[in-house]
Amino acid sequence: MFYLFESDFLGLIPETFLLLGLSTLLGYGVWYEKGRESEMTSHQLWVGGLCLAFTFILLCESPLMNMILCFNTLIIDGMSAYLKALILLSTLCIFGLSFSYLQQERIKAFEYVILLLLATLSLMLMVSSYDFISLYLAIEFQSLGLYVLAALKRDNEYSTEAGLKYFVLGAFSSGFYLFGASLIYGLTGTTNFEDLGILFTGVGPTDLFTQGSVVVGLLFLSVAFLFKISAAPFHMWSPDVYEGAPTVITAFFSVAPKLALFGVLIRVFYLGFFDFLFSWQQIFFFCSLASMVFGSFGALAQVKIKRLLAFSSIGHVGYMLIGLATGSLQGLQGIFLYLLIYLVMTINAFSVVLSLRTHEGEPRFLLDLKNLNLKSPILALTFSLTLFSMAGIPPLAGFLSKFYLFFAALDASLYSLAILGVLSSVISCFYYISIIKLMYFHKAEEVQLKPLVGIDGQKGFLLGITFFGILFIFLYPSPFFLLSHAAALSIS
Amino acid sequence: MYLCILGLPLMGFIGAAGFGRFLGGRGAGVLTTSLLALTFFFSCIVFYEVGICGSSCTLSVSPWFLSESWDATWGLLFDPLTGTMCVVVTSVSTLVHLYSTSYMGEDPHLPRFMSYLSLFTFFMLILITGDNFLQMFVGWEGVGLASYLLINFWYTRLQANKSAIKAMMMNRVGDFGLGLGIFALYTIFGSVNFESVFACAPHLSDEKIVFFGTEFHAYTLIGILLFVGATGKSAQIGLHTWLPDAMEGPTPVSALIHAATMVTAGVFLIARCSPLYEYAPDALGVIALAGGMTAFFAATTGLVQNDLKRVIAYSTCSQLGYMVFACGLSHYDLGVFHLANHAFFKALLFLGAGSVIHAMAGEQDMRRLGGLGQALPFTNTMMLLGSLALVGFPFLSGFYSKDALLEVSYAHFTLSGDFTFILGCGAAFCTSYYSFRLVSLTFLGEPKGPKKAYEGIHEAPFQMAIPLVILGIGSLFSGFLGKELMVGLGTPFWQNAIVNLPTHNTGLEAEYIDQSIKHLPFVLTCIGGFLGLFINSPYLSPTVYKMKLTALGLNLYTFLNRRWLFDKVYNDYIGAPALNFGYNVSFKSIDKGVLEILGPFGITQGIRDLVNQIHKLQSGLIYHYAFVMLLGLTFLLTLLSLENLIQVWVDPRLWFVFGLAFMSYFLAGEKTTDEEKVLG
Amino acid sequence: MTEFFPIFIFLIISLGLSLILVGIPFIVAPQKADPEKISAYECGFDPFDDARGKFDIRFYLVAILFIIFDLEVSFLFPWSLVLGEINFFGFWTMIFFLLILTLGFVYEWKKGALDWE
Repeated sequence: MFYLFESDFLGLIPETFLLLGLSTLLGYGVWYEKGRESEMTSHQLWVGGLCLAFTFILLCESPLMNMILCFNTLIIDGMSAYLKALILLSTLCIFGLSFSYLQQERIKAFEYVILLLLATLSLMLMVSSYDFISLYLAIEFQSLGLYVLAALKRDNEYSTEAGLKYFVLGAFSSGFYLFGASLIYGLTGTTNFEDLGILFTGVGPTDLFTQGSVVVGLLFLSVAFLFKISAAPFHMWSPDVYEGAPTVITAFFSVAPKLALFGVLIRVFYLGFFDFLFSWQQIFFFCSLASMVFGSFGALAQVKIKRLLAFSSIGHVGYMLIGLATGSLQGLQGIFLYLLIYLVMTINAFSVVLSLRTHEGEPRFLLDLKNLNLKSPILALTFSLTLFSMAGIPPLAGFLSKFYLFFAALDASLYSLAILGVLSSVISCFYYISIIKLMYFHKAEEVQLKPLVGIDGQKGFLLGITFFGILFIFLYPSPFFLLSHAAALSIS
Repeated sequence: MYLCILGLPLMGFIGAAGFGRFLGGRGAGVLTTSLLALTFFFSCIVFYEVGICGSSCTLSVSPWFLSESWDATWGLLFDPLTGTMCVVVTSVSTLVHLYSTSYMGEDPHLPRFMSYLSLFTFFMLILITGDNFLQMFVGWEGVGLASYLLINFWYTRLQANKSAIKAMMMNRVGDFGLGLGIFALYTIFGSVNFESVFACAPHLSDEKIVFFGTEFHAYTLIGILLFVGATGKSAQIGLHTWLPDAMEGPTPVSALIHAATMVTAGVFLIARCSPLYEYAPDALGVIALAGGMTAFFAATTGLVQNDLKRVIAYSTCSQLGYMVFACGLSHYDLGVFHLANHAFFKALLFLGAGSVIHAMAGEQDMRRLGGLGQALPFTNTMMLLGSLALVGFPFLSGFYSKDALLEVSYAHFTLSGDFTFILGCGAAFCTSYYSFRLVSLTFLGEPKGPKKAYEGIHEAPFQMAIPLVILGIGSLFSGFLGKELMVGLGTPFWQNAIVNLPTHNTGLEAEYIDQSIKHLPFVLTCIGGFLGLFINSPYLSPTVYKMKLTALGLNLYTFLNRRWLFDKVYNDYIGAPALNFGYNVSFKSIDKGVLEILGPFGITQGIRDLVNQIHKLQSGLIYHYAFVMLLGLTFLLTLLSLENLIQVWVDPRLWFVFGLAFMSYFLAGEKTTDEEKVLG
Repeated sequence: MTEFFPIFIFLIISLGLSLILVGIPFIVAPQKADPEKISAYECGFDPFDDARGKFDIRFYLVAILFIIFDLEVSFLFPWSLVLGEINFFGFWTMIFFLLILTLGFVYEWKKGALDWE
């Protein structure tokens, strides 16, 4: 019994380190807070960032490649390593963005850092989970942290509204999750993904009654997951929450949970329930279609920046769901590649939005973007190229990822998805380009344009790195291809 | 030398068109006329060499289409048929060029005119010297183009524009038939080369072409399609309406194109394809019928026309009908012989009419002429000569070809033979009537025009008179000189150019028909001439006028004057509906309607509406969101569980159609304003 | 299946009884509403203030904190019973759990959640 846990601790070193680190930070923060509020947040940010960097190194140098831990509740494999790395990177980027944001918004709560670190920890655990129970624990862990983060600005109505809506609907979806998981448990007697996968071997689309109930449970599970990644038709919370939450938190919302949840989706559906492919393929088919359509059409009517970005991320989720629906190795590789490039693009987009702050506050409406070319030409150029990349225009990075996914879809004979994907890409081009038009070609009025508050070092660095990535990934994409392929192979 | 025949008119065209500005009218005239005279000289040599000495030749100039087993090269074929046509074309063309230097002498656009004339000659020569159907088609289209340019020479005149377009349209319909014929020809023979096709003609005579399930005898189909082309070009009944309106062009144009050359292209085509037609008796029957009907119809219409040139135009149409039915009765040699003769006296008639019009300062209506016999004796003589040749007065040129035609048609004891004989005799009667009516109204009787016109009257100048003289000589002697050569029994002149199956040849029988039948055309001519002179003289005018005013007289007069109401029918039942369709249906309903709605306009509007609808879905209320989630869940549940059951009964694609219909109904009544939207 | 029968009876009786108790007055009792009867009542006068009183959020905070530590204690109970079997490993696991909760407690103390002022 003692030796049962020998190598488990080795496998969990990154998570353990992160946990200890954030506990130390919490203690430090709460003990020395008095009198040092103004520097506390930046101290926490720096040390927290260091903590994340060390976790990243620990993750990469981990001696264990493939292992099942903790009584079959956790697993470490290629995909988990890949996704954990991406999650850590995304949180690092968010920290980079937060330096000036917290200062400008005068948020003195150092708990911000702690909560972000806790959310990251939970996301890492989510990616590694191998059992419905551990997955539920990790999901709730993450959700709770994110609920609080969404409502961080306590005196802002939008923020509280965002937090509340997220909380209520998140609880609703957790209910779905539990119902689905309990149905599956009731029918099979096990909650472990591997056991489920072995149990369902050879169950084809033969008979409605043997597999009907499992499919119902699967449906409820998928509804819960789809809610969390804001796929249509479960996406309606995301524009309000994205708009209300503080911008940096919105950036975190856009990126990190999606990373982890796609990992979860892949684990549940590809490992646990792969034999029900024809059933859950339909679910993702429909949701992908709806996401792409709602993402592109919804964004067309928006006038606020963050809501537009929310709809655009719904669209991106739609594309990623295409990869999920294929059920093939290429689809998986496509998803991983897309997640990476999506990370880069979103961080860039949010960095730009954060850089657009004027004396009056941060930009809310799209019209605040107007004539950016005159105010700051380089920023305008960066943003326009990012938008082009999001629209999927070659030779930028976004095109590469979409291209890969569409080809995977065509290989799996999901022709209508590919075609609709292209069509919604075209429609989404419209609103991306209309933003560019606002930036460059809007008629400048005589009234003096409000000058921008400067960009600090970290944000600038992030902008630069992500922009560089968007521009030049196409020149040398092989490392990313290799990485994503390795990750995908670990599943099959 | 052979290439010179083609090249010199081309050089004339380029010279007059490109450098007319520098040469001036006179210079352009001199250039083109001299070049064409040289061409005529060469054609005479060719005629001697090919026709009289009997050595046909071919030249291959350069490749055009070379594709696997099909090659069409630019090449020339000179055989007796070509030689004859060359002489006819170049002689008349030269004389017309000479004539127009004086007729159009004061026209500031004379270089353009001369260049067009040369262009026309060039294309006509390409048509007749081509050694494959494609080259002939090039020439065919080219002369159509030149005809359009020439009819529309005075392009600011609306009537000229209309007539030119009408000519082009009718020609185009014919060209379409010709094109189809060439395609069918290619399908059967695999080549468009004359030599190949005609050599294989006897062997493939039983081929059938299947089109939309029905089988057609190939040669008949080809023959009829080619004849459609000839109908357009040679103004046979059906596509003839352009010819009288083409008189809007200057008189030399009418003389060249619509008397001697272009309109004879159709006859040339039929004669050229004689090896094919010989094996398609049904097609020949159709041709004969059409030719006979044309001859009669045109002649009757010419009876009551009032315009000088129109009468002569209908006369042309009628004579073309003669030529065509001669070919239809397998007597291609007679058709070509009549073509040659007709070229001379018709050109003479036209140029003479031009002289009259020139003298009377542009007056063309016969009812306002009269009494010009004393003022213009030379022209009078020439016109009389031409008319006599036309009606087939014994021993003039027309006699030998026209009467031979009628004899041969009688001797063909078939349905088509009898039909054409009767119609031909009727046409002969009418021809004589209107020819003498023309002479009577124009030259005899009392002057009926305005005095001012008579004051400025003058005889034709030198350059106008010389062509008349030469043409007069032609119309006198060409028949007699050429008859043994071209239509004599057993003549070796035609060699391979014209093929006649022994069963179809009735030349010998024609010699032995009844004497009364042989005299009949002459008798009819005399009666017709007498009537023509008599009825239109001032003595009988009141009576005739009263006759015309009776109900029957009015109807008959209107019917004949309005060209048997062909134009009205075409305009009302073909032209107007087509234009109506073009505007109402294809422009308004389809192009601006359906296609725009399915295309740019509809899609953008649809997307705008859809976007607004979706925008309203985000209400901001949590329970709405939760409800949508539940709806989504229910829908997916249905999709998953009931799919297997439903799929048996309902095709899943129907759901897509259903959804689309639902969405379009949903969007149908929504009209949104653009103020709500910031983007776009 | 038969073992659930009492529960079914219970369900029927409770449902029936409550429905009857609520429904009979609804049907039998006279309902003649007029403005005087329906308006809000506060000691014979018209109400001065909103009936919803201000609720001090500290009660909520105390309740939440109570739940947390109460659950911690409820985890301690079974642990204490089987501590004999799970020896040192079990002991240190529980200590770790308690340490995490202690960290939370320290945070909460320092933040002043336990001060009633």
